[in-house]
Amino acid sequence: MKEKNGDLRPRASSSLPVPVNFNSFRKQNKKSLLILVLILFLLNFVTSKFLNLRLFPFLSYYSKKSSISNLLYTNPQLLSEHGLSRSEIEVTSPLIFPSVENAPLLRELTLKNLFKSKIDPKTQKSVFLYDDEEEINSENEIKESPSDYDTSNPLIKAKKNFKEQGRRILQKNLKNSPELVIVTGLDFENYELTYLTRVAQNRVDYAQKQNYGVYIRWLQEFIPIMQDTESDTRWIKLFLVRAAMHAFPDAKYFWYLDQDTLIMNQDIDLISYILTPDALDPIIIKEQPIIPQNGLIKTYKNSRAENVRLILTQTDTKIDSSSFIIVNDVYGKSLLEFWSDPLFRTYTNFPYFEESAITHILQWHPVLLSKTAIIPIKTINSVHSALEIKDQTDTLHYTDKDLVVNFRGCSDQKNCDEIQNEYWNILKNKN
Amino acid sequence: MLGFGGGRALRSWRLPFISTTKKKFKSDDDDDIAVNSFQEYTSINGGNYITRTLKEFVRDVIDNYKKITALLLLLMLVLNFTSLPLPFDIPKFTITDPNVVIILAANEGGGVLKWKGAQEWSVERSSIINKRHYAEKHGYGLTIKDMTLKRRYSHEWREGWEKVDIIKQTMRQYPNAEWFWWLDLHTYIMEPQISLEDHVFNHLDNVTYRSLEEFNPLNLKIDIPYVDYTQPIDLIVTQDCGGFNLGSFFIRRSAWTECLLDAWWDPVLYEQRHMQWEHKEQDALECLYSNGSWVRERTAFLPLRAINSFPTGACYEYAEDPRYFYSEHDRDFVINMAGCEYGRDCWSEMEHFKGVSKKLHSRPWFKFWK
Repeated sequence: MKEKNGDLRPRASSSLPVPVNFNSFRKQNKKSLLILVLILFLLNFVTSKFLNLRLFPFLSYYSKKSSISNLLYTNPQLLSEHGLSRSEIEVTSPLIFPSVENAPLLRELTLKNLFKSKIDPKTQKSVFLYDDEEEINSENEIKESPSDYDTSNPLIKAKKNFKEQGRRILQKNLKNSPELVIVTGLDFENYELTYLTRVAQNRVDYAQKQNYGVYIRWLQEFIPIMQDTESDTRWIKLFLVRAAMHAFPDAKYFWYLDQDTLIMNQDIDLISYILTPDALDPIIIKEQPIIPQNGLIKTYKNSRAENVRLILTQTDTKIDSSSFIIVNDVYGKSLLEFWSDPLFRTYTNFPYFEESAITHILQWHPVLLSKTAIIPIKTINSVHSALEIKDQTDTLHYTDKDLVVNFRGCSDQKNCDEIQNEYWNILKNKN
Repeated sequence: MLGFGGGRALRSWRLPFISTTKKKFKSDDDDDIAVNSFQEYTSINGGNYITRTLKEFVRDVIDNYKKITALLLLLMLVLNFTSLPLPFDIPKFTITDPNVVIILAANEGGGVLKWKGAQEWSVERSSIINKRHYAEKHGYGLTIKDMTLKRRYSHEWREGWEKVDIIKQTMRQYPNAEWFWWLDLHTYIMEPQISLEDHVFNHLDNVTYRSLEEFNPLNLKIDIPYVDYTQPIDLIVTQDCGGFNLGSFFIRRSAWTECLLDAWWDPVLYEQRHMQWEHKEQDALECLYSNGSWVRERTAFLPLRAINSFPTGACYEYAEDPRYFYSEHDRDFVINMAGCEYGRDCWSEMEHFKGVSKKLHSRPWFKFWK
């Protein structure tokens, strides 16, 4: 036979007795199962002891379990995300704006009647507080207290509207949630009704044309927050944008526009105009000093549109925050909230308030700088010029067909109404 | 053949494919036998002959070395199901890069200010050996960072603020690690058999707390607007009697962490607060946490004793409060001799807890089950 050549298996035909060993098990299946189990065991042993990989945890010994469960606190029910007040009103229209016609009534009411107030024992000044006890009833309105029952009184109606305004948020998981939201704050104390109506109308017209959302609030709604740190009201814009992010959780872009601006070219779709990576990439100003003309810290040479979360513009002398776009994601929110930190708001060496703060942040925080783009000012923030623009190379002032005109500074010269009127007429003639 | 080989058939055992290769190159008469054998072999068994061969081999080994096999199997079972220590250290090989990296701060406050004495060297050595042993046991990365004051930051008033830079640096050094565990030098892992996965990471939502309602030593506002607690946890710290404690904390690599590490140190914040901020990074983090919903929504807390138990010397004003202090009975995981360098004796504390840990893990030689 051929035994010499290494065939080890016993054969039925062999004349020699079969030794007592595993081979003598006749049931092949049982045997291979046994071998499989042994191999798994061996594998588990090798991996768990030598490779720190427990293939089959139940096959190996567990040492004393952690005793952490003895220490735990009972976890209280966490509050879900809410805005400045806990009870909120869900709306289905992406155009959220107050009843602007109430402006004179609100001015008549004064802040004292619009907020709860108390006297600060230290400074003897009255401090305004939010009233969080007001609850929302089944009809999505603030429950009336008995004293406010007289709904025919326009003042009380205006007050109620003022208080409800901040609680309006877009219904969650709405299908037609806009991709971009225009955010503006209106000041009923320092501007006339016509002026404010035109600002609101201008935003709403543009948003309807381009299918954007609008989020307009009274600036006075944020006074209690500013009082806390005695901050200038110019900081309110950051809180406005944060509130807008909360009200439109599914929107991607938030475009803040001051009340001293008008959208002049309503045919431009902002998203395809500057926000898509293809459109944004070529216009990012790279290696641009944060403080013009010769600041030491410059924007990155290799910044790319996909990384951009904050889009700013710069005048000849500084960053201008009358018009900026911020993206609603973890970087955008972090940047925005860090920017509005109370310690920045109390800092006395920030002459331009929130603009100084962002200038400072961009110079000291490389990650946040890498998420920021500075683009030419004429894209979203062309500045009004009292004189006619003759210089062809002008890259600052408003010319025909620009998206936005910005007449900031008009309130110092008390001519906002006139300037707005001028541009409002141009707009009217266009249509 | 078996008759011939008896218990030593293994010697003549050959892989059949050797025979087949021979067939290709030689056609001697001798080898015809091999070819025939192979053909017969396959014809009898059919199917995949390699697995068959392997099986044959295993069977033969078991067959021939029964006693040794039985002994090995027994040893394996014992090792697998008990905690019997091996007489030698098993070397660890990790297949992938570590997912958890321990950052151990050494030489804290040393350098320009003072010399290190013999006891300080000893404390440092004990601490490092302890962490190295732990990291090796569980396959974690360990990086020991020198915290010597270098006056590198003196122009911007931030000596002692290296923590943030070190975390950033370690994140670059271990680009595939997810969690980073910061440990101060004066810590000792008392229960090294517990893995961080078992202890914390595998049940993050159950072991951490996110609202300050239960325990709020700083009296921070409990509810601020815009906090979305559905966000993942990226930072896990503990609170001691005086507020946040960064002697032992976890931080996870994420976009949020990138922002936090970037925002953590700011000259304007620091300039206004440097008189109040005794604990530097700790105070700055508390400040960011108290006002920023973006910080709050991804920060979670562990009970102090989960990863950061105190000896009675720390927080001594609260000596009655069991939430802070190490308990042998509960077998707390890590001891942090916080503040031992200020008027207490780090070396004796370290030696004490080393002894406690050793005692807790010793047992009679015959008792290898538990």
